[in-house]
Amino acid sequence: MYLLSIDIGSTWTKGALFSMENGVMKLVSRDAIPTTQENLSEGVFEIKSRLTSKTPDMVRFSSSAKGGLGISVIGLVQDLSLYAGKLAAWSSGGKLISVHANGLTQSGMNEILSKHPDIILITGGTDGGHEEKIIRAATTVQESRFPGTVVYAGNSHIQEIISKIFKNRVVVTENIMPSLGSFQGEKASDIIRKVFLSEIVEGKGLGKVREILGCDPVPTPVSMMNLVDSITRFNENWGFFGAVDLGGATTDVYSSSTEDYTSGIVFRGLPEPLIKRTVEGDLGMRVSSKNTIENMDQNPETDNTGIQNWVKQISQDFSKISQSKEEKYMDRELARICIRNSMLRHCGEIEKVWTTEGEISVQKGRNLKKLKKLVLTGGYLSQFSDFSIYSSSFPGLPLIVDSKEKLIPQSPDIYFDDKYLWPLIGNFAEDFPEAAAAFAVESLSG
Amino acid sequence: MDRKQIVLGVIGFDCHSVGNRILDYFFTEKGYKVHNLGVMVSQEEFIDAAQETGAGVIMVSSLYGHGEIDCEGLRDKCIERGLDDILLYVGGNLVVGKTPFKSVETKFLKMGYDRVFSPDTDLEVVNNLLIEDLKLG
Repeated sequence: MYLLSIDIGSTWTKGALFSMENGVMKLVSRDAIPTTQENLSEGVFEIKSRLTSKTPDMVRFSSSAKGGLGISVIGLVQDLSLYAGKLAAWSSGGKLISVHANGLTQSGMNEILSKHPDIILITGGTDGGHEEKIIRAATTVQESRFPGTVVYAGNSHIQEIISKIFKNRVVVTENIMPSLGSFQGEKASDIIRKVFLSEIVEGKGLGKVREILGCDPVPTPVSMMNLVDSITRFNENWGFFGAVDLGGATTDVYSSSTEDYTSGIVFRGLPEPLIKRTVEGDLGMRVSSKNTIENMDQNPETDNTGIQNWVKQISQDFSKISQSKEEKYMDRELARICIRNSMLRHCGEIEKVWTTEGEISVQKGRNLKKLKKLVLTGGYLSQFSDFSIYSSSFPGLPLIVDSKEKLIPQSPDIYFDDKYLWPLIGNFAEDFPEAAAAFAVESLSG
Repeated sequence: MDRKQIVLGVIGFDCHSVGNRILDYFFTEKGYKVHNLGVMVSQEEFIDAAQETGAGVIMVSSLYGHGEIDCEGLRDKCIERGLDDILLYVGGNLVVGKTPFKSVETKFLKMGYDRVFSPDTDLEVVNNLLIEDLKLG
């Protein structure tokens, strides 16, 4: 049977036709065209007709166009409920538009309104815990006439009060941090994905695409999460791996890890989910390139003026591809900044402290130091399979900043998704998890 | 908001965990919801936990003699973070050497702690005071 997969990105609309025989998935053909920003369905129609003239047996599509799924998160304590809220937003396929600790001020609300997120996620308070600031934040949101969807996933003891405040125009779900130090984001993530389907698809211009293809869209990151999940479950030796998806607008980092904390380590903060996704909206190769170079001080040897000029050019034409040797060099510098900073934000850190009992390591966040395999994907990385790009993003490991060691992968084997198939295979990871996982790993070069 | 909740932990770079577990067990048995942060807890972590849970009391233990340095300023930070009326209990080997308990108590009361306990305190006594202070009785 034949499977058609389409992914509408912020810059490119990609498509692939797969065959599926006896549980084995294979690539038949693949194509990409610039995303038709004005009318997404035009590009989709074009890709579809280029790939096949027949009706495929199954169709799936994903989209991260028009800014993807934008979420503002309101929480209480920075390292507790607000962090839990961010994790939930990331794993639902969203991109953080703004975050607000300690409730919500009026100026915070104004910031939200000016940035137009699709969803506001309100968290905070363990079950039976804090109430006042959350109730006040909910009231502020209600009074602002925010046009999008509000999801409440905080202290469950005040669910009724919250529903009342919003006159039921709120989606209420389980608390993502029901007790201190626990993270239960699945319900909230599911709800957010459902909201995406029921409320947001039309606004993103995907309603027409849904009509043409006859199936519901998923946010691209959800496809990638599903694929990472399937690979973790079905592929031997792939239980502990990571992936960096370097796009035009965002840089996403995925990692699957069941970390056991060795003795002598004291862990601080929320436990990390099995599959973690972080999204950096200020790191990208095209749409976000202006923000990307603001993070440049991390790479002191980069040619400052050259890269500023290059960013000026690509900001005017997102689909511009580097041609000359110099332009290629600048794109590589951009990629290094994205990889370095997104990885640093994804991973945790260890600080060594001296106590009366001797030296003790205090760990916060995820430890990926021993990560074996790292997959690099996204338009740029797929095109230039440059195996030194990761190590050159991190010269001089181990990396110690303010006497804290950053727990980034030290010497992972690098794999390239050089046919740029992962998001497209990911679209079928729910239907055929085992076949999709096997084919995704097989399709890599490295 | 349920006030019958306790945020519990051993402050500073102190790794003594036995007493901490006994406190956790005892107060859980007495019907409190105990949020045990374990050992090596910073002032910020105590306050973060209290804020998120809405607990009525923070119970700080210190066993390794640096209690005075570690505990100083917790009350001020609580007020700064909007936890004006949270109870602060402290206990353990709070200072090094053989300082009379009375002077230790005075010192910690002055720092803003509501109750100060010596290492040999009967936990029933602590519980009775807590019922009184939380006005649960």
